[in-house]
Amino acid sequence: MSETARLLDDTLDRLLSRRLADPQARADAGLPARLVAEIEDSGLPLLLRPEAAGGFGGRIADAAVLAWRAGWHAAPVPVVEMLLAPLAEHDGPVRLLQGQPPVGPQAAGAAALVVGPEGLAPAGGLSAFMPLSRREGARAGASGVPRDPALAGRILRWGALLTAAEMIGVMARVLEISLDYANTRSQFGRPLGRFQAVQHRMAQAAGELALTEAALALALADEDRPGGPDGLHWRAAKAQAGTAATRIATSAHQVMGAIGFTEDHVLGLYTRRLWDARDDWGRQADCEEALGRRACADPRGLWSHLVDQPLQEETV
Amino acid sequence: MSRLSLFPDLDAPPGPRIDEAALRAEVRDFVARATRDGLIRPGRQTWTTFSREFSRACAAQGYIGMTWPRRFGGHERDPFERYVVCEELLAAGAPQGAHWIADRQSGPQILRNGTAALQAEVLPRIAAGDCTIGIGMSEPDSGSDLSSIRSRAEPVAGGYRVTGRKIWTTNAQHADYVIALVRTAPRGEDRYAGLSQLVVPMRSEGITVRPLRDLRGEEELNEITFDAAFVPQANLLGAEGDGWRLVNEELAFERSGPDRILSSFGLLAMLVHAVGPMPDRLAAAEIGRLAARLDATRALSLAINRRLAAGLPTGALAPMMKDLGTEFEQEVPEVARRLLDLRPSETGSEIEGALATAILGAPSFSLRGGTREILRGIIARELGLR
Repeated sequence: MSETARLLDDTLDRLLSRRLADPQARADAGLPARLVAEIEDSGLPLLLRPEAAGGFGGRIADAAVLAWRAGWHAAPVPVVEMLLAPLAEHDGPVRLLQGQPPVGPQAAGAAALVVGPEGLAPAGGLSAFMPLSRREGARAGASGVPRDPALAGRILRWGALLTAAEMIGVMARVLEISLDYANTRSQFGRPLGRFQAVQHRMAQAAGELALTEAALALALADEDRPGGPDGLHWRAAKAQAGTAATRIATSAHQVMGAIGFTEDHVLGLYTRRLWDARDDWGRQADCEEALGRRACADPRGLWSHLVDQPLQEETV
Repeated sequence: MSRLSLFPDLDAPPGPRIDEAALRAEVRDFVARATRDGLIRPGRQTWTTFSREFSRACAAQGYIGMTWPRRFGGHERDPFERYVVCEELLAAGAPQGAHWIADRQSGPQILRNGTAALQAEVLPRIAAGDCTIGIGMSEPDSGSDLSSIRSRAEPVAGGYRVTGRKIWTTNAQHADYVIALVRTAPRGEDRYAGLSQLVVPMRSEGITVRPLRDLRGEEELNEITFDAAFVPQANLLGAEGDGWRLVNEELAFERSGPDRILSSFGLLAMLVHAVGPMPDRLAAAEIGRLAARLDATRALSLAINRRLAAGLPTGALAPMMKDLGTEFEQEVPEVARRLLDLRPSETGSEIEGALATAILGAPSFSLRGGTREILRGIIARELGLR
């Protein structure tokens, strides 16, 4: 982690801790807009913008730490889109809607762009969309001529990596919440965590998280590879994050029992975000299918496909 | 709770600096020659398959004891170079049973804890591909509960006499040595105290080996009976009473390698080939799901090995990786039998045979090296449960 990332992460952590400490804070409908404004004022979204353009010139691995932090707090802000938007700025500020099907945070104010495999295109026909995490969103069809496919490709890929990072933050917190509960809640005269069935569930959940962390770290390192990244690792990291999210949310709800199923408990804030994020910025099913097609089409065979340098550089 | 995070990772060790592509090309050349010579039979062998000839060929290439000091016949190469060679040979389904255990864990164990005399006697022979070592942990009445073992070593002039039975020792019938966990003091309050590891020479009086035929029809597992077998004093690892600590040290290396991911890889590669370059949606989705899982598991294995090489703690990462890696290995034949219109057959075509081998071998994947249940117990303890 770079020094810049460490400082920005610290800033974001303090900001979110302060604003989300009061359990009632999230009931305020004005909170998300205020948080977004505050985060923008702090300059965090400039992390990925080149220094020449007034940004911090940060690396995607640094930005991923911020996405992780937002996930850990289940911050009701579109952190991935906020980090990526400065990359797509052309004539002024933009908001990004992820492609196929295009869904994203409400595109109020700034120009909305749909990011898809063909390029960036101005969004048309916006309609309100309410995801499971109840963060105001929009669906759009692309209108106008797509431009800059290379940039769109990078934004799609980085969107997947940042979403996986955010999910890892959410999952780390979910694991912590459920471990804490398992150690304090007693039934039949002993803490839940003493029951072997519960222990094994939690052990599996922790394993899924470790697997996702390792996959993301590998994919982030691949971004620095001479010749550009392979199409394998980022899709694998996003697909693995989806698998882990399903398993960890299931385990946490099982261990927490009925209280976790109510809005009296915070668990749902996190699991709603997880269930959504599986299909944000690279649907899990699309990532898996693309991985399968690429593997089958590689004339070098599966092993070479998995461990050697890619045959052709990815355009998307 | 003490959970090790790999992202964000504050103390990530630097990545390896080796010419990976050149090394992979070299190993694949070697594999192609060994296949042509009939030493490798794709899909029908595993890393436990015994072949002295193949192990000697590996030794001649410098692929055994790769990271060990030269004075013991080693090659002083980077741990990541060893990792690359291991995964290339595993992906090719090469028969590594004659040296695998010795190269993976017994040799390093002797290097860390053996006497100078033992090191000089054993390590160069392993590196030459001439020495097979077996693991002597389980006993007929002690499977997962290792602390309950009853084999004992009595001190005699110049060493010990070992009496007892060991079981599930892979390739014991070919082994030159077995590293046996034995009681050197009676079981007391602390059930992990009084245990020691002895490197038992198998070509000596008082030892009988009985092979046990497994589900695949292979005779790789064995039961060993020790009847006052003599073991020289120089063959004690560490000090008397160190046994439990040494066993656990050994297991960290046993649980994080590519051998816990790639046991059924040969079948997966054949499946992808059989499906062809234009898969239907079901095949693409299923193969892609497995590819993602394999890539992620491999990433975890690499991260653990990088940490081990840098001397950093690995917490419960190794048991996690083995639990998930063996789940993947077991899933491969289940996906293959749904996507391919064929029946597994031990006497059938190459892919029918590979499917049969994978299905029949799969139960062992989550038993050997610590059962899935034992691993999850270890992980739970690290997480602060229990």
